[in-house]
This record gives sequence, C-alpha cells and structure tokens, in this order.
Amino acid sequence: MLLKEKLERGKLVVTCEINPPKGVEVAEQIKELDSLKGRVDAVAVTDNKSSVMTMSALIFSYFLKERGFEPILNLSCRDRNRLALQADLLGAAALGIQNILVVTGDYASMGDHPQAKPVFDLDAVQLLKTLQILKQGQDLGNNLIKGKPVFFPGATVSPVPSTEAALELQLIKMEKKAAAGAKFFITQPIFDLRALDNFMKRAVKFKVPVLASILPLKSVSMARFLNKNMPGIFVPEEIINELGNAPDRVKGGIEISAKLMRSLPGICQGIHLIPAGWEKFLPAILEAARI
Amino acid sequence: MVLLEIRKSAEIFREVDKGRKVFIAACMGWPNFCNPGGEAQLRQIKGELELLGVNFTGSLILDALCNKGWDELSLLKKLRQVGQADLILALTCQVGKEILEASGKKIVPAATTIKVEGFEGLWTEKEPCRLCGECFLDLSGGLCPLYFCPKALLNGPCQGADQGRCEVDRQRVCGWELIYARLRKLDKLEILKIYAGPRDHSEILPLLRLRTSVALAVSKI
Repeated sequence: MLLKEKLERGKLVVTCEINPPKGVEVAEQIKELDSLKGRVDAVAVTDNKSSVMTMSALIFSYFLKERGFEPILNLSCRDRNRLALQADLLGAAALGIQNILVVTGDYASMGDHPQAKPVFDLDAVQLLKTLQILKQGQDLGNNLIKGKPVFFPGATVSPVPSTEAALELQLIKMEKKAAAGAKFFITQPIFDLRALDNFMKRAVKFKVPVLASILPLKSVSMARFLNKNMPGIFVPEEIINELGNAPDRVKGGIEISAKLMRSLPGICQGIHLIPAGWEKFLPAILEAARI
Repeated sequence: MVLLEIRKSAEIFREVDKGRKVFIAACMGWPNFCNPGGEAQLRQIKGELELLGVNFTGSLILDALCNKGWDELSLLKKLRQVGQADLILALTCQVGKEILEASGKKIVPAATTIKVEGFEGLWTEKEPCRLCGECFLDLSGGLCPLYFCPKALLNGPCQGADQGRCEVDRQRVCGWELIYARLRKLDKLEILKIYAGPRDHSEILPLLRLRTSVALAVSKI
C-alpha cells in the first residue's frame, strides 16, 4: 500500500531517512537497504542535508524506486530558485515520484561548502503552494504546463523548540503549511515523549498526520552533543543515564529507540527513522520495537 | 555602511609593476560609517610601497568621493594632478574606485570593499531595510524579515533557532522571534497566519538603476 493510502486510512506508517552518496557509487548502498524492504513504507531521500553536498536527491530517489522502494523526495529551498525547484518537481512527477517533503534547509554556512550562495528564493510554505499550483496544471509564472503532475506533499515541524515564542511560531507555521497543502509532517528527532504529547494535543486540530523522528543514540557523548548543538532536539537526562549504564552501548542505543517507538503509536501516526550512520542496525531496531 | 579592508602591500605590489609611475589617491570617507583611513592610511601604504621600490609621482586626498556634491568639472580638475602617472592606486571603496576611472588611468585598489549595506555614503547608521521594492512590514510588525532573517523567510521561522538565537549567527536574536514579540505586544499575533507569497525579484532592477549617483555617471563617460 502506498504511503498516501496508509496515511489516509489512519494506519501506522514507518519511514526512514537515507542520505544519497557523496560520490557516484550507488549500487552497494542500495543493496544494503534491501534488508528494509517490506519493513518501511517509504524512504525519504535527503537533499544536501545539513548543507553537505551529496548526489542529487531526485536521481537517488529514482534509483530507489527502480529497486522497489517508495521514495519521499526531500526538496530544500536553500539550493534552488523557483525555476530549478519547479523543474525538479516536473521531473519527479514524470518519474512517478509523488511524495515530496518540503524543507527550508540549513544555512549554507553550516555545511561543507560554507562559501556557497544560499538561495531561499521561496520558503517552505511558498514551495508547498507551488506544488498545489503545479498540480492544477500551472506554474508559478501563471503559465500553463502540459499535464497535471500528481504530488503527495509533506513538510517538517519542530515540536520541542527551546523557547515559548518558537513553539507558538512552529504551530502557526504548521497551520500555514497544512493550509498550503501539506498532507503529512515529519518532526525533529524526538526523545521527550511528554513534550511531543503536549505538542500533539495542540497540533491535532490541523488534522494532518505526524511522523515522529527517531534518531538512535550511539553514545552518551552523541546525546550531549545533540543537546548542546542541535536546535529543537532535547535528550532527557534519564535517557542519557540509561545509555551510560547499559552494559552494551549498541544494544542500549537500540533499546532506547525501540522503547520510544513502542510508545509513539498512541501519540502520533507514524515513525520516521533517522539512522545517521546506523543503517545496519535499523532491522534490529525495528525488531526490538516489534514493528 | 561601507567597510574597507586595506590590502597587504606585497599584494598591491604585485599589481604595480616596478618602474611604473604611480599616483596615489585617498578618499576621506565619512566619519562613523566608512573607513578608508584618509591621510594617515595613505602615508602608511605609500611608505611601505616605497620601501619595496615603487615610484610615486604624487598623492591626492579627496573629500568623500560618493558625495553627490562632486561634479564632473571639479573632479576632473583635481584629477589633472595625476599627470603622467601610469596608474592610480586608489585608497577608496568600490564606488570611489569607479569614480576615479574618470581619469582614464588604470586603477589599482588599495582596499577591498567587504560590505555594502543601505545607501553608500549617505546614512550615518545601519538602516534595517533591504530596498527590495516590495514591503512586508505590514506582515511582520514593522520589522523587515528580509533584514532580520538571514534566510529572508516570509512565512515564519525555520527550525534552526536555539534559545532564541539565530542558526546563522548565535550572536543574533532570531528575527522571527523578534517579530513575534512585537506582534504580541501589539496584540496582533493573528497577522502571522497571513500567507506571504513569493517575492518579486524583478522589483529590484529599476531601483539599482536609480541608485547610480552623479559622480558614478561621470565615471562612465
């Protein structure tokens, strides 16, 4: 069943995130993903994530589709102006890639090409609207296009930002994204279920399914790094202690993710795994979470 | 605001072939918002380059070159002093360098213009306006998102702010959190729900043309 159908029928969905290679070899990486076949509903392909240059997300999505996966093409506002974004969207539609996750994108200075010109010609809300316009057979310049592309648009949200103002602003922007056509939301990595639950109580009125991101913790220092450096990510002290006290670091990390995943179905409609280098442990995490 | 970074003598020297006759011109600039360094900086660069063997035919200190009070005649009269020199070493910002092109000589910059914001040489402090040709102040409590948000997002913040600080520069407050605070104070938070469409970048083009100053036009003759 397609991601769209599953979400529309209110079923629990599991997706995961994959970064395209920084290079030209794809075969091996895609083969490694075979262990996830049938276990995840769709695979989100990142678009120069964290402003680090990798292979085109559109091309890599196509490779995944050829291998039998359902891709979610991430589309960042950082690297392309409205012409390039629409051009990629038409290409995606022609290749049958319908799931589009619209993201703002980190600033160029955060990545491995800090000298690059950040574009941000459109913002995420405007890009979602653009998808709507294309779907009606038009482009942003009010010209007719041949055919009507089919898209299933999604967007991102940060449910646990660090200030009250930021939380209110996230909710307002979420509402705008939903109004602009977002059919699903993917969150920042979640470790604090109570905070997510509080957020969901306020976000439920938008009637758009939310997939909570799960980022496996590889070490205590990783958890501390996230807390110190990653906006919108908060690992509670008890989880850090649990990992620190685990006799086996890897098993401990897997169990923490699995435990979070087991609790999510009561709070939101989906789980989005961000392996961040732990691709090989994803089957074990899904196993432990009994999903 | 114009910020100048004086180039290293050795670097300038490579562009000023030994044996050529060099004239040096320095702009006085405007106190408080540009820093060509005037006479003191001129003497320093001249001294350093003379040690390297550069032969100067003369020097000239000019009132702020971007001052619209300059007219063609008075500028060209001043530039007569350049005489037989092969090139002018310009201790000025980019605007001054272009104006000195009116002399018909090769211009070698002694400084790099590293930042230009707002009107060059007219305002004495930062002006939080991008001269974008459209105005979004009604959607943002009077604080321009193009100025206060490095990503120039029009429909609310990204997810990069941490403790209210901007992802791009932790010294800065997130522009959208400033806008939020302002609108809350005005009891107009509902404005944030209004959709702002894409910018019209074509609006910027005629403004660029209008910004050309009299002195700059002289340099194009």
